[in-house]
Amino acid sequence: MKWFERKTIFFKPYSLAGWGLFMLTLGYCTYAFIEAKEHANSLSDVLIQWVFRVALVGVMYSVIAYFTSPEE
Amino acid sequence: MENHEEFEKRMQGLKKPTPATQHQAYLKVPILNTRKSAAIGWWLVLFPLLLLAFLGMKEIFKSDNHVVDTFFDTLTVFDRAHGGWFSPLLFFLFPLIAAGMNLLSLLNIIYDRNTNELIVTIKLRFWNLFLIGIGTSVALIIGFYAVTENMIEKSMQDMERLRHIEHLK
Repeated sequence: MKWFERKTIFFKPYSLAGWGLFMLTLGYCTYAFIEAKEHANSLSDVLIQWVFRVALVGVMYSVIAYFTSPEE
Repeated sequence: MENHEEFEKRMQGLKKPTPATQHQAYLKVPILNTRKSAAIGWWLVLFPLLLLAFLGMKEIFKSDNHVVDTFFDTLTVFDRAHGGWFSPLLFFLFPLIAAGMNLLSLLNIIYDRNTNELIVTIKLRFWNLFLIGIGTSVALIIGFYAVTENMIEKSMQDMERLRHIEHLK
């Protein structure tokens, strides 16, 4: 099963499933930004909340990519 | 023809060269891949590093912007939404997993039947060792902090109870 391939500390999508997951992650990041913008008072609040969520979803994405990328 | 025989004799008389280094007697297969473990390790220690970066920014720029407070507020919101396990997961379990994975990628354990020995070797790779250090230290500091905080809270509760009993007498 090869969904991703590793480039430094990032995992690049390789197959259709990989690209699907990547697009889903990007979609969530956009949604998180819009949601943070609606609830936060200032720009710094929006950015911190957004960075937090992006980092969290980045961890999840990387964990999945770790198990679905080939051994080097 | 004579030249050929002479050449053969000369070749047979040559001494065999002895190699300077011996071949490795064992095939060392690491448990996990070093590069992949380092990549996932960075993601797993991301949140403690993010917190450190925010604290560093606050200290260096001496600014009054509530970056760290907002960070903790966001954490609290997530903690409340997920039943309180979120912060321990990010600041204790994830760094510990990162350290463990990187340690396993550097370790080679071979059992020698003849001498009945376990041979443990550790590869020296800077970034893997660095991640082991960060993961272990973060988990230790947070673990120690949680234990002491819990002990202080318990002793405070005991004191309150004693005061209440004395007040009743």
